[in-house]
Amino acid sequence: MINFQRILGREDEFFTLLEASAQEGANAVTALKRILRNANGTPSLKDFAEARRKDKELTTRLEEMLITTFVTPLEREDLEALAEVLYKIPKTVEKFAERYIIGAPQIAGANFDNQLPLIEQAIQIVLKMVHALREGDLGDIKGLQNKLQAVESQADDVLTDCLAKLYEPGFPSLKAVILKELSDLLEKVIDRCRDAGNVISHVLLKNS
Amino acid sequence: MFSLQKLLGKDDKFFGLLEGAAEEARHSVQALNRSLATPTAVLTMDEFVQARRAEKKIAEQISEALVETFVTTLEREDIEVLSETLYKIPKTVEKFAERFIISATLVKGTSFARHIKLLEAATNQVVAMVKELRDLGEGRLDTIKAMNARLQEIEGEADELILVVLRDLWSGQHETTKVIVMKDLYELLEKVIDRCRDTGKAVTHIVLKNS
Repeated sequence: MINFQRILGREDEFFTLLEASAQEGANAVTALKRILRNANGTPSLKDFAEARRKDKELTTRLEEMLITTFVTPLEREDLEALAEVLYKIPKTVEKFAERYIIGAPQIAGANFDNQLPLIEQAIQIVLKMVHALREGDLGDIKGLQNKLQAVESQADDVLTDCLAKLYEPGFPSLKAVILKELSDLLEKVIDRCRDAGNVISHVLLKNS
Repeated sequence: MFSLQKLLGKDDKFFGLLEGAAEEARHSVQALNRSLATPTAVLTMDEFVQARRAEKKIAEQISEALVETFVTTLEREDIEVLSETLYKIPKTVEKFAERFIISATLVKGTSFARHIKLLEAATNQVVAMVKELRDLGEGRLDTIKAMNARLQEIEGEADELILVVLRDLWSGQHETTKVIVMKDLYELLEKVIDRCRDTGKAVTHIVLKNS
């Protein structure tokens, strides 16, 4: 029997998958906070791998639905782009965590206290934006997008300050190499959040 | 003379070109592997530049054929995406070779055996997957999904390998310049495998759409 519901709209399912994907990004950031706040404990990658794996499953499901569904709530390429950028958030967080654990013995005393709060803010804004997408509330999205851009710009400044310290003469070179890699990755997490915000704003504008 | 055949389907041509592009990608990796497996060999750019040029030529032929052809079995944007991802394989290999040559003294004696194994497996898988496109239709999805899963596994192994080499590079036992150079090289090799994964994803997408 032909299943028209399957061929036609599955609007709710698309939004639910996107929201779940954004939530996995937030879960990865929570795990990140845990290992950075507990620098002396034995860090584990389990939570990061789990968040990324779940996000991958959600993204794959969404991509398959895009192919098998006839009518989608938003344009196909927009949904695809959003799913892709949302997946990259936990993926980049996991990449940071893997490298943080490997580099830990060489970077004793380093902290990421200036970058972490910005990442937390950014992912929370992304979550709100993805939820607002279902409602199609342009005003709300615009305000959130401005906030996200401000956070991203602050993150750029924080990275520059961090690099200035690493480039000071006499700073141990290997430690500088490792810290630069890690700081760049944290900034990339915020960039990924900004990318998600850009896609959502673009979608909303197109559909307003 | 007006050629209907020219205006309508040229599918065999597209499949042939895409397979040719996949083979060129594999050739460039084979050339690289031959050089890396022989530490005493002096790496020259000729073979890599040729492979990349040949790939570029095929990509151009595909673009031209897409403009000239009215109806294609595969959607034109899918052919374009696949052609693009295939081109990036020899391009990244060439980039690696350039960097390898300029850092020859620092990388002397380094074994890339584990990378060679993964590069070979990934490009073999890419060639096999692109060949599957000729038999699109019902029943092919499971085959292509299984092939793609294997490619994802190889990519996962490459991700793990980069962590293994980073652990050594960041151990404090190497001179910092060497750490920077080696990390750059290892990441480029990982990128070659990422490009193979992207190709696998593009093929799977096409098969799913046509199943």
